[in-house]
Amino acid sequence: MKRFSLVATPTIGSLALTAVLVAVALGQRVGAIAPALAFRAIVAGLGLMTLLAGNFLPKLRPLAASEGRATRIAASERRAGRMLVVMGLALVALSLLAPVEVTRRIAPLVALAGVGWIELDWMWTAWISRPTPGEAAVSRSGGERRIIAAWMLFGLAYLLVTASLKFMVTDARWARDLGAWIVIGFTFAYSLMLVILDRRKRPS
Amino acid sequence: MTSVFKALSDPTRRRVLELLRKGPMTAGEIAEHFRVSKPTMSAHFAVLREAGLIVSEKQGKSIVYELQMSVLEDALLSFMHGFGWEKSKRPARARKSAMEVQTP
Repeated sequence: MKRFSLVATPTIGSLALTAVLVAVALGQRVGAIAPALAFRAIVAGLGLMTLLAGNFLPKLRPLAASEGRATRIAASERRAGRMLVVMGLALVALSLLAPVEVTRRIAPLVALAGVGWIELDWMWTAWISRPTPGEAAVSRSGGERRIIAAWMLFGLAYLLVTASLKFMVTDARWARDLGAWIVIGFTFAYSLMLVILDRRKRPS
Repeated sequence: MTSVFKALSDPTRRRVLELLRKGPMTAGEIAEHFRVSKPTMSAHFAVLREAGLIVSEKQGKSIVYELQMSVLEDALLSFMHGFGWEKSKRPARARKSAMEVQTP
């Protein structure tokens, strides 16, 4: 039950918030919700999703600790979790308290800066955690949680980046390309971490 | 969430969590930091595990404990430390909690 709730809470929460965001977008399109209110609701929804993902990130262990590097990797996961929580709180606060124009300018910067910071932090951790020759780095349990955490993070990164760029520069082609590259960078940073952490000792 | 508050309400268990912040440790390594019996320590580990704050993994003859706290739970723990609860209430609370754990 405990294991189920650990995985279920962030997953169901993210799905429910995604459904709310879709409903708000549809409501705006058919004219049932005013554009300004829809914008605030979308930023608040994204903020809550970020908050939820950040809070559970250190529990879901997306990078999965390996022997010998467990402390450093766990610290990296905790930093990413805290950054997402701060980002989420900032987005929710902006959506509720700031004027729409201010939110439109600042919220995308907050989201992009947060995602970029996590990318850089993970790449740096991967670099300083690279195994020395002959070192054993056996992966530990938690594979199913890692898969869920990975999907949740990629989904969140995609949503944050595409929404941020759309708010900042509307629908320009170069913005869509930039968004794709930021998400690819995030995926690359994550994959790099896993490759380095899962490297096993080669038989001599 | 009730189980989390129950786990964090005890100074010994909070100290265990603080120790695990430095990295995974075996039950024996953690127990070295406390003057309590092994059954009492095991009961504390069980409460922390039940609350989902730590995970255990058997490695050979020893059990390795590892931290598994969400950002909110981590913040709660830091909040309790920030207000100096460890210094002001430790002796009385530790005795009381040890008795509570030992009592079935």
